[in-house]
Amino acid sequence: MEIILEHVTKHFKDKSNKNNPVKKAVENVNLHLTPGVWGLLGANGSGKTTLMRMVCGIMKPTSGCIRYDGIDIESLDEAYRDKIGYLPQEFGFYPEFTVQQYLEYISALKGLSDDLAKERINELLAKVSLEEVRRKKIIKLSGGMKRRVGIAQALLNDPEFLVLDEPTSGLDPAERVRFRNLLSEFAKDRIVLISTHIVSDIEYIATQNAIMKNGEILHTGTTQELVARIHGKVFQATIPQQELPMWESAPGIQIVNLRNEEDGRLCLRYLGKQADIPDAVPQNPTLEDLYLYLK
Amino acid sequence: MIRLYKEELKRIVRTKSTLLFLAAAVALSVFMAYIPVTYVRFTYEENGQEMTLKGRDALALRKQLQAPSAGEVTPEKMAQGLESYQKNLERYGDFYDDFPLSVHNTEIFPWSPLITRLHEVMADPDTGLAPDYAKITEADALHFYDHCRTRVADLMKSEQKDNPQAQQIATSMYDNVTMPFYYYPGYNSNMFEYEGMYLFLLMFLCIMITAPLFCCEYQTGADDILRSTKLGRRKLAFIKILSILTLSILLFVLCMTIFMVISNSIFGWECRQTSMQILFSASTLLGLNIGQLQNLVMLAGFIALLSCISFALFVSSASKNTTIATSLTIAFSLAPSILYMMAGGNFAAYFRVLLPSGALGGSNSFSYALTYYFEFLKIGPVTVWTPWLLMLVPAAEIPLFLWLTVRTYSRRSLN
Ligand SMILES: Nc1ncnc2c1ncn2[C@@H]1O[C@H](COP(=O)(O)OP(=O)(O)OP(=O)(O)O)[C@@H](O)[C@H]1O
Ligand SMILES: [Mg+2]
Repeated sequence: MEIILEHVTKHFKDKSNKNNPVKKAVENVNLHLTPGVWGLLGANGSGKTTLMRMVCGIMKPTSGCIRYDGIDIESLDEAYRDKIGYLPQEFGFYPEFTVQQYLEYISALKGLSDDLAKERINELLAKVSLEEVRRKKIIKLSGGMKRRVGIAQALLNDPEFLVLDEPTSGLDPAERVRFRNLLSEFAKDRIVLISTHIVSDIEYIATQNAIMKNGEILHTGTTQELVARIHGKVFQATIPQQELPMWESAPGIQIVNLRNEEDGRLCLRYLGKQADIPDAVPQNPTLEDLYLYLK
Repeated sequence: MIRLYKEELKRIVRTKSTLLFLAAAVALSVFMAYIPVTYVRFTYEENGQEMTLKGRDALALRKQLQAPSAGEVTPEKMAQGLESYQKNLERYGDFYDDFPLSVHNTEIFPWSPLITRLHEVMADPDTGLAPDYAKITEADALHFYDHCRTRVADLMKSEQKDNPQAQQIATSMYDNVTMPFYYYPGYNSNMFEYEGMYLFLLMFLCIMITAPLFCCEYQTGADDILRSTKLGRRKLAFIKILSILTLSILLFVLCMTIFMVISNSIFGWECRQTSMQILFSASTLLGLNIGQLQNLVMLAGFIALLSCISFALFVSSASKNTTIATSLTIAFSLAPSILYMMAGGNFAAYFRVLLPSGALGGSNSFSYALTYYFEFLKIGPVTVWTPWLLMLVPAAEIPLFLWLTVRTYSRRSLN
């Protein structure tokens, strides 16, 4: 199973901007998605949501095409939608619905039989730890719980291709861990595409990453491959507090993290050259460093 | 698919506003069927004092007093009634002003439903003015049914001067009217106004239930998930339509049953056999009795209702939010009534038959067109009696709007 994106482009009409009436939300994206967890990283407005909606067939690309095992998803239609699960970044619930009723409704939309739906709902409510609130109205749940209801509905049809737009936003640390475990168990022989700008979320679960900026995919690869690009560029140094403004404005240095030490000095993590700051120590680069480096 | 249908029905019924509108529809059916009888009055004299009865008591007394004219309307009854009229006219003069109440109640009132019709058909063919009661002869009364036919022909000549085709349609329609007529006292022709008004209200309630159906998904953003599911496109549109139609039809059947049972039980089921020609006007073109008329008005209302619902569905599938969809649909549904009141004339007449709600409203309602007006519309070379158009056009619009709904919903790509 594979999903191939070829020259996928989405332009919006932007009436508010007279000088530049065309907003290029996604620009010439080529991707070859294979089984595993894919992390889609990008800043706000970089086009992640737009790309995901096209991949789910909700939105038509301005140009380019998306194929599932070689066949255009538009012509696959129902057969394609039967294989996907989608968690939008934002979506509405029916105010009168309880968690259980909502999942029953969506399972009917996904064409599940009564028995199968019941079984799947019970199973998933346990997995996202929502069993206790199943009879509660969704609008009365906390933000993180709503998110988990969203994750559960995406998984109802046991999709081969799961698309999650910022699934971890609003989840507490314990739920994040549960979510990661749920995904890594689920992702065998399936494609999972996750978008986020919280790098640490996918650093551990994503087998492949794609980094998006201004609608384009800048780099793809495993975390190691991507991180290798900034090998030897990440350092840590301890400086007196008053020197901070100087280093902040120094050319060639990008500070990625700051920490106050007990003695009143500052511990800096930065991208640049070792020689830039005296006594700097090389560090193992992370995806987050890369992400900030590319920004 | 069947599961989705059940789930969608459950979803619609679960919505609070829907429940409210459903309850309102049922409550109104009871209310609207009951109030007409509360307006029935009858004044009589007892020991030299005027007494007024109200409501069901008044109705019972009216039925009792008019018993002599109940049943088949025979020429002999006409003659008997006329005699009673004329005898008293000689004695007391103009019976509107000068009659003692007790004489009016016992000698005039029992025959008035029949004699009014005799008076009506004796109108002068040129001026259209009805003659003095004193000038009508017994022979006229005995030839009541012949006068009816002549009257319709005369009327059409003056009302549809330029349209011989309309004259001909009217005459041949009247040839099919069943004679003799029947009359059963008690029924109030206002009942049709209430039936019409109730259908009009029911239309609003159904629009309120229907209008959010598609656009609420766009508005809340629930749409994204729906559209990414297997059945979430064309099939969901189809199921949504089917669910709302199921619900509306059930609601219609329930409410109209309540309405009919209550109103007919109050006024008496035998009144359903009264001929339209006695209750409304001797020149009414349709050969139906009140029961058949009730059913026909109901059928026209049903078609108009389904047509409005289909229209609301289409608007909903094309609108961004519920407010726009609801107000737009309501504006269109009110258009025939408003146009008819404000503009009238030919344009309004053509325009309203094109709208789904053309048959619903006040003075533009189907039962008016059926009973009081001789309305014909010319479509190119063909002339058609307006009430038929008021049923046919909305009926033809139902599949059109439903098709547009499915198309709009499933093609809507969120840009
Ligand atoms: N329907 C739309 N009409 C016009 N412009 C749009 C539309 N949807 C998105 N855009 C624009 O396209 C760009 C990409 O938006 P998108 O929502 O895909 O970004 P994102 O990467 O998901 O951002 P975030 O991290 O904030 O969720 C933005 O500039 C946005 O303003
Ligand atoms: Mg987004």
